Amino acid sequence: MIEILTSLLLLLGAFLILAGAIGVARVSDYFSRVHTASVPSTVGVATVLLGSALYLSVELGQVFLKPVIALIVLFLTVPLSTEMLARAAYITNVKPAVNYVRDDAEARHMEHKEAVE
Amino acid sequence: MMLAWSVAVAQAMVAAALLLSALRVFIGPTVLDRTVAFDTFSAFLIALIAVLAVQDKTPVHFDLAIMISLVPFVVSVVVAKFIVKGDIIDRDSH
Repeated sequence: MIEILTSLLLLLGAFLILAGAIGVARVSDYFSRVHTASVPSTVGVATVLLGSALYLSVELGQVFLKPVIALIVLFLTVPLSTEMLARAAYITNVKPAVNYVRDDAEARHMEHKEAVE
Repeated sequence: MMLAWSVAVAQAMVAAALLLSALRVFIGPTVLDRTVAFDTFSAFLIALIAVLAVQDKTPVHFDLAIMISLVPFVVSVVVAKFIVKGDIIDRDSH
């Protein structure tokens, strides 16, 4: 029973991770790539970590909370770093492949700068 | 038996994902592309460590997962602040 549940969680997480990695490698637009990159590194990794923690807790008869700590750290940091990288790209004039339909940051007078390389 | 097969399949899929994000680290045109790809690379490395912990039946690898999960946030924040401001710790604003 626990083997079936662990297999399902591991395979689901691995599928999400592989789909996200294909997106990171193939999508040609920076903002779409940031959007594609943030989902597998939170949800996919969380699924795999939960499956691993569940299997080891049942198999060794002891509750392991270290994967949950890694999961909480990921859920706190990955959206923050993604948002900071997208904001840095917007400020340094990285253009999307298709032009903006509506630019809310421009309406709030966010300034543009040259990138420091 | 069934768990061994699914662990092998999950390891192969995560390894392919690691190769694809490493490819984006190499070919990414700007620094920001490389940083995002490194961020996902580290997260996928945590997943590979978790699958390895199921395979070996030891909880020892989870310490490694915690340590690796702390690194990419620092890298992303430093790169984003340096790209925008040209300085990581701004000493002028008090």
